[in-house]
Amino acid sequence: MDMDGFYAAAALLPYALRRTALMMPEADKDACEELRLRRGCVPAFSDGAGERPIPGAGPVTGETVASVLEAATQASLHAAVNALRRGYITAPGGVRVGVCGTGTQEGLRSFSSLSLRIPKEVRGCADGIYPALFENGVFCSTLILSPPGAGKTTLLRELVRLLSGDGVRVSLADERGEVADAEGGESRFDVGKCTDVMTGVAKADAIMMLLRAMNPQVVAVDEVTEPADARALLSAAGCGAALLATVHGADLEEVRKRPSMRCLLEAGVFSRCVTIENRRGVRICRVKVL
Amino acid sequence: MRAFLGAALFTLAWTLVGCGAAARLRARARTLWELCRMMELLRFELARFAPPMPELFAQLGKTAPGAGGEISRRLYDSLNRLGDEEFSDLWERALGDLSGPERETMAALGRVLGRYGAQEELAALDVCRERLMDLSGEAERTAKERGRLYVGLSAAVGAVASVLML
Repeated sequence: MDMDGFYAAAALLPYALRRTALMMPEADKDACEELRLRRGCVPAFSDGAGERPIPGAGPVTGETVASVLEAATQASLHAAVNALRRGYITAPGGVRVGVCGTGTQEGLRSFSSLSLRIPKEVRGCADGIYPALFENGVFCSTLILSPPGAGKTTLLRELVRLLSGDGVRVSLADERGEVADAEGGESRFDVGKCTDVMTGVAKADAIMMLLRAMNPQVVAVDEVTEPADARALLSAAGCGAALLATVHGADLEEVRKRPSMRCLLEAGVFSRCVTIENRRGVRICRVKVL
Repeated sequence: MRAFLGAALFTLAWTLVGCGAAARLRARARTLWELCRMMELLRFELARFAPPMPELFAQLGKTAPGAGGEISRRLYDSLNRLGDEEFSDLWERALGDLSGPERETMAALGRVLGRYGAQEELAALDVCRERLMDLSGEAERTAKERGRLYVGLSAAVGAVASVLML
């Protein structure tokens, strides 16, 4: 069981709550995907089956939230202003801390809820679909889509690792540092020996920089949301690089309703689509030829 | 002859006691000045570059003079315990043997640093710096006025006591 992610998330909790979280049953810790802290409520954890309170934990206070943010920012909330404007901070260990609070001109204040998303490395989760993403031995541009929390990032990481392991030069635009958790130039997660990782740069900029500088065979990017991201992907597709991207959405029809994604799909940029279905914690991946 | 020599040594010892007290006053004034300087550097870095705390205190450890530099270095060395301990506790411990109102002033700053946005941190820094500057001015005046007094008084006490003993 790989529970490094859970321990990395638990390390951000104040001492008493951390002890309680670490006393959770091993199976729950292994299945845990998120820790949820809402002021005035009992902290909860969520797995594929839904959200449950952490047994024995007291209600979350403002002090608890402040303490988690202090640990997540290394006591440097002032340096995390830009990240907070986007609604999240990436803490050590690749834990994404989503924040909710009151918006002001300078960003968010009076934080009310935190969501600690636990990064997972699931070796073998792409084995079943990997061969279907090739045509005549060449990797086809692939779009991974699912609702939030279904495992898009985990699947993307594994596909990047497999491609890289096969000697394909992959350039990974990892804006939030969730895919590779690169720190000090080294990735904590295994994304393969032929992968170049650009972290902390806006996706659209990172894609263009990687195209210019790294001569990628595959450009991988997590969570395409902005029109600028889609435009950058369109440019990358025109440069001869295959694409591997994830996007929020229940199915292709839903994704097609978004103008930026529609233009990508109509341009025929992607020739494979992987959908992930989460059935009470069991992920089912399906490949569709576009 | 021996009695005179003993009296002279006795007087000298008392004078040294007075000098020691005066030196302590000067040392406190110097420490306060160093803390004020540290606050200025801290404010400049935070307002201009807003670096993360580890980076900030690594730099202050090199640039801040005397006591400010020591506090910064101690804090930087302990920052790897963040998460296990609150920043304010690490800060308080980094203050070392600092005592009196300056310790209280610095400890109050530690309860704001690392936990709030830049504006609140800068406001707390300003309050802390002003208080330290007041204390520094007061300590310098005290060191000047009382320093001479302590040396003079202790020398006089030593001399009188020697004469009486003779």
